[in-house]
Amino acid sequence: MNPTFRLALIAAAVGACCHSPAFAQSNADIAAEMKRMREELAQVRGELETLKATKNQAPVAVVAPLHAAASTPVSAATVVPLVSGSAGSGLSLFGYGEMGYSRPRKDASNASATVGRGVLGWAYRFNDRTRMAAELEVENAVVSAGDKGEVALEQFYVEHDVQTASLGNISAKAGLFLLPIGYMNEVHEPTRYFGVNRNLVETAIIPSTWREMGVGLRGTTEAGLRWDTGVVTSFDLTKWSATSTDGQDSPLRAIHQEGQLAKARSLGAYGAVNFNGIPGFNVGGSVFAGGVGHKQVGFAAPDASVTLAEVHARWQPGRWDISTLAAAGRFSNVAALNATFAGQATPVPSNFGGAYVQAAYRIWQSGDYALHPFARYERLNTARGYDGLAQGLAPAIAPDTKALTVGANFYLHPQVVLKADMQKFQNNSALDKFNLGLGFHF
Amino acid sequence: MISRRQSLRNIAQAGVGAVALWQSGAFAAVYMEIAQAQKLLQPEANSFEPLALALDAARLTALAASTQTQVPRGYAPQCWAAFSGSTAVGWVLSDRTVGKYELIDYAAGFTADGSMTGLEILAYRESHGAEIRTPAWRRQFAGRKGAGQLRFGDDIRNISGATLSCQHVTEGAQRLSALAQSLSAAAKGLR
Repeated sequence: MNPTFRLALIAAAVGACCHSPAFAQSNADIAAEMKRMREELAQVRGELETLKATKNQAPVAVVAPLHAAASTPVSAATVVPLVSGSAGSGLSLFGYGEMGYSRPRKDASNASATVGRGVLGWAYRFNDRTRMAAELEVENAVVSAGDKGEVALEQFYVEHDVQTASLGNISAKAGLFLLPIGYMNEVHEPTRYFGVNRNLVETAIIPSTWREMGVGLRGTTEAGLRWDTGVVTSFDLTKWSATSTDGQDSPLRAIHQEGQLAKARSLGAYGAVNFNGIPGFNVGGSVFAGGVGHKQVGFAAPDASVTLAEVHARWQPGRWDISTLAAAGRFSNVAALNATFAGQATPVPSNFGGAYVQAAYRIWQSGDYALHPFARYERLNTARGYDGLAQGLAPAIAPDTKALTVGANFYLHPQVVLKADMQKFQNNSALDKFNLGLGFHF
Repeated sequence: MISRRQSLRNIAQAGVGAVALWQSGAFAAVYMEIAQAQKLLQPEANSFEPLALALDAARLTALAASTQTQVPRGYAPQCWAAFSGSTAVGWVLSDRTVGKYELIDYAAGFTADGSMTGLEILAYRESHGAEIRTPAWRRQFAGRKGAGQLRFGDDIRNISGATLSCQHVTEGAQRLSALAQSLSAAAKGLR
């Protein structure tokens, strides 16, 4: 059938539907019919384009106005979808990789290099409102019984958009997903942060990349306020080891479950708000509160819980990128458990927290190349006190870690970055190091 | 002092409330059709005529060079000439680009001399980066003429957490702006 004739038929059909007064269709039926017509229109336009091409018509021809059919910006069916790695099916691939070399300033024999992370992700769009996303990560290159690498699912969730009467559009997520806490937890590709390694506050205090299983809701208002809330799995304090240093490196990382046969007798809840109503400026904060004792029989702290709160702000005027973040956490009802850890190296801290300020400046740019020197000062302490332990039975409170990181990100392309930095630790110069890194994302 | 159980209960109740407000049936991703966007972008116009853009390989290469952006595979923007009566007042161009994983449909209006009248987001399919729909971010585009006035980071500020969407839409707007400049030059040449 002649495509132009088909077009006219469709127009007539739509016209008939619109003018029929007694045609009582429900909204859902009309929407479905319009979608079908849109698809058919796209197909017909594709055929028309092919026909014109084969007839060698003049390229700049005014296409006949398509009044009746709903003219959406959906391109002709012959257009290849603009999604990386897609075969036109709704599947998209993405990923990132980062690797680094690190040399302690005072101990060259401990220099090391590692492929820190290789991450492959995939997203599939079921329909305009429903999609899934997953990320598979390999840390430190090799995983086996004798190797120290790790393979993990970083995210694995389904997302569904709903339209509400008063709250506007909201997205609901269910599965294993990253919590919207701080800056780095959700956005941690190597091209998106400064320095070879992630900052200490968002590694040791906020255990990036921190993911839990559960349900989350997100909405964005017209004024630029983004809110998040959800109910998710929480940490497992029964994993705490008072003899290992893991809890000193990062209290929450030592007891995270990451969706791996997680204890779920106690759950957690989070809330986050971010204001992005002024372009170039962001301010926000979040809170997480969860039970970590899981009412385990025989465990000394069955009612233990943890609360973590953070606030952050970021300003990007012109070439500058200035950001700051402060986070603080607290364990409650752990006194009885700590009593059993008397004299050991790592009891459960009652308070922990830290903050950083960072400034970066795009000093040079030419095409895809760009150079961003930066400096970051951070101060944190993974144990500011211990409950349930008398003086002398608890380890001495260590002074705050104070670290200055100065370096630069050099972008070969917005998605490929070379990094170099030097880190100076004010209270422990044995940790001073020089780092080089390479990262990319797609 | 609210106990954790109470806060969990509150959150659960709020969640149930949110679901109760759910009004299904409307596609959440598509916010407006092109006809509505055309009216918003060219309020003085009362008719729009589709215009085919001759974008062959040579023109696409020139476009990439002049805007210093990479033209996506399958780039096929659509164009309408806006008329107020019989006077041409400008153009509306629409395009699609990737946000983080999903496609964003958007449209930009241009006056007869190629300045942008505004930017509208027609469809946004991700939860990340939905802030590009806020009027405050889109207002930055009004009045800008040419790709050189639409540099991401310098002229168009970013939204933290939505960087990829902001960057890709800004680069797309640069390309549409370059096309509008050539349409404007062609129209002047014909007069």
